[in-house]
Amino acid sequence: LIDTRRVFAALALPGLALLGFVSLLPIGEATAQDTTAALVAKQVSLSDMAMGSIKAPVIITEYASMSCPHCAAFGENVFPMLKSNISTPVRCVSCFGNSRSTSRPRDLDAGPLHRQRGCREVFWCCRSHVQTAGAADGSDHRYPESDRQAERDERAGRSRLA
Amino acid sequence: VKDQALLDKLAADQRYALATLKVDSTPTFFVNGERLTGAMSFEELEARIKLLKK
Repeated sequence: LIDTRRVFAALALPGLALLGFVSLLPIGEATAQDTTAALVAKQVSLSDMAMGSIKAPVIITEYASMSCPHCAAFGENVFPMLKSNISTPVRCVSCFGNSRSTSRPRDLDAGPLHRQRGCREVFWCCRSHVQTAGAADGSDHRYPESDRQAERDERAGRSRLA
Repeated sequence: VKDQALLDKLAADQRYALATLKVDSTPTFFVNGERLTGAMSFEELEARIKLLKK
């Protein structure tokens, strides 16, 4: 005779184990994102410029550079739409000048300036000036043709996620 | 900018962004903790926000 309890146990245990594993997958992913979100939200030294309620369900943190054309395109084309075209409350946090790729003289000047003025709009006012000056003085702010093409693509709506 | 204290703070933020958050290019976005790099269109961002609402 087959011991039904043993059969049930033999089938149930792997089934429960599989169910537990599958149910843990998204939780693990969500936990990792929560951890990253907490690390992103942590204030290290300087305060970042933020717009929107601290209780907003969506928080977008942007690491940007004053001399980055992709960042400029985001500010010009996407950011205004974020403010007006989305029903979900969104909090936007902007970090300028504090990523390694922005360790160029103008960016190092622009980062503190952005914070001292206490106004994100400084970026939009200065952007074209910074980029034009960079191209004129032959410094490393001169962008290769590939970057210019990427910017034109963005403006034409052919954006990408790297 | 000649304020060395301010530049030191900025450098500390840079080190944190690079070492902890792995921000090594701009723009880099974090949408509720999800890291996204490179140019971002409104449509892409809107789609991700809609996913978060579900």
